[in-house]
Amino acid sequence: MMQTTGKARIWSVVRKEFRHIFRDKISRLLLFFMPGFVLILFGYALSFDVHHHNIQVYNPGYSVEGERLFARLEANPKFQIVGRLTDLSEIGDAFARANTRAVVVYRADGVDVFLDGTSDLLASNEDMMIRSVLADFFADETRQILPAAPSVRYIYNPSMKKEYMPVPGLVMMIFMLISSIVLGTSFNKEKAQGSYRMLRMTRMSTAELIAGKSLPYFLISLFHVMMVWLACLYFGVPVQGSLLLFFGLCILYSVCCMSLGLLIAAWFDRPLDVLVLCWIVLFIPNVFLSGFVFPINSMDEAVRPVVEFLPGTAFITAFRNIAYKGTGLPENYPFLLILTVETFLAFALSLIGFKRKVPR
Amino acid sequence: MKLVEISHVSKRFGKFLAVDDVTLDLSGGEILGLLGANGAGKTTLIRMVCDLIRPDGGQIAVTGRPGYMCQTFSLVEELTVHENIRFYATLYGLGRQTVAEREESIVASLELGPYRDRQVKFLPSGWRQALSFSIAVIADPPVLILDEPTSGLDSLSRRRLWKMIHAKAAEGTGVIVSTHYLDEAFYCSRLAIMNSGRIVAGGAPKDVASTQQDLLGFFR
Repeated sequence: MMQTTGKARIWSVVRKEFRHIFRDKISRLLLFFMPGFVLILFGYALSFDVHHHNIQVYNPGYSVEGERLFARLEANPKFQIVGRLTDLSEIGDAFARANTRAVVVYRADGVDVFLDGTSDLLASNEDMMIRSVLADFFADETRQILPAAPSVRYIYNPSMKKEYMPVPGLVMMIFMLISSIVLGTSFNKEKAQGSYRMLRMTRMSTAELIAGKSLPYFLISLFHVMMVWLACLYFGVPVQGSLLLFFGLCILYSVCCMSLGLLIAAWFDRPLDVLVLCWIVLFIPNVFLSGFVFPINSMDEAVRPVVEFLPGTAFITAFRNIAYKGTGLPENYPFLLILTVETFLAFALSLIGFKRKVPR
Repeated sequence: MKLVEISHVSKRFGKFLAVDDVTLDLSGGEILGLLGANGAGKTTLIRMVCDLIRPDGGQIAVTGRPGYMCQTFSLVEELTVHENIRFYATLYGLGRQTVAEREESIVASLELGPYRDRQVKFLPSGWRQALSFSIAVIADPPVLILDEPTSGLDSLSRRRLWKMIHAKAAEGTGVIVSTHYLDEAFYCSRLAIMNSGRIVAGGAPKDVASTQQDLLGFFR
């Protein structure tokens, strides 16, 4: 009897592996979609180089020099003047309501620069760029009037603590991981074991089953919310705004993540599918596109519409607004609305999925 | 009275016709054996009867909510015997008093007393399937649907499970049981042999065996 050679056996495994790769959805996704996705994400959409720093200006004396300085700022492609203040008291509103990164005030005896300190990385960058424009301006155009060095103040984070920037992103990541992946895989573990079919055969409706399975995770997420609040206190970034609104935001985001995990669990059967898809579809986009790692203003215009509607973006923006800026519901309802709509949408689609699809 | 009536039912998954124009019925006290090789369409038919998937064509009428037991062990592995019984009994809508009584009865009949507080994943497979069966019938369903319940069991455990099935049928419960073990055909009161999604032979086991000289032919 003829024996197979080692080479033949290796080729046999190679052929089998290729067949496995091309026939398994998750393998195809990981091997062919992921590299392209990451390359496009990092090579095209993402950059640390912020294109537009939104600034507002204030010229109390209506001086010609001040206007020329603002014109010089506007001429710089990195800056975009999005508004003019009529009184110094409007600074708080400018930062809280508009997407303003800096306010430049021209006085006869000097220039004041106010920067949003909630992101120390961006604020340092903006500080450097504004100082550079001011230096050029005074060197070139106003040799007669040479005011003192600009006074720079960081709003919301006067001492520029490093902890301010990562906290919202870390909280966003933790909830995304715990709420979506753990609940989703728990559902699919039941599917894999067969107990899911047994549960469907009882008097329970699909909605009751989802509610029963999700409630413990929801209660645990309340504990996580308390942990987040304590962590904020520990890191010295106390919540400036309404605690009720802050807790509401964290709970809503956690529920939103649970719904997204359910959505994936409803349409895919294996626990591994949920794990991989939660990473690819939820975790990676929300970490890299939510403004946590890369500033949203640095992203390409083409991805901005997607970025704005990511649950992570809504959460981080609202977190910074409520916790650092102390803003309330009127300033944050768009973000809460995004999270609410996405929660209901994901829940409705997962309900349809669970009703229509019973694991084979 | 017919407890289950299946009329011209079909189900297709993409290009694959899993169940093709099947008509069957089941009376109280009857054990209907669905026999066929893997892929013959038994499980798909059973899941349609359980309303877990919808047929593409035809009609299925089932009296009451059927009890169901699937081929894989499907209790919650992390729960103990006691917790599993309580959990499923509550989901089947039984009151507290009834649950306690049923639990005692199950534990006594399966001699599970010493293992009542043990997680079911640590029970031997024969006991686990017997427990699954007891839980499937905990709410006294008029119809019991068993999808390859003896798969992977040793002969002693299989025999014990069939005794339990017969006891339930003797109480008037209609049982549909799928199996690919030929010898189990003779435990059933009636057979329906499936091949490529169709019922290719049916009747009392002795009749089927005498008219179909080689039952094995259907399993090729």
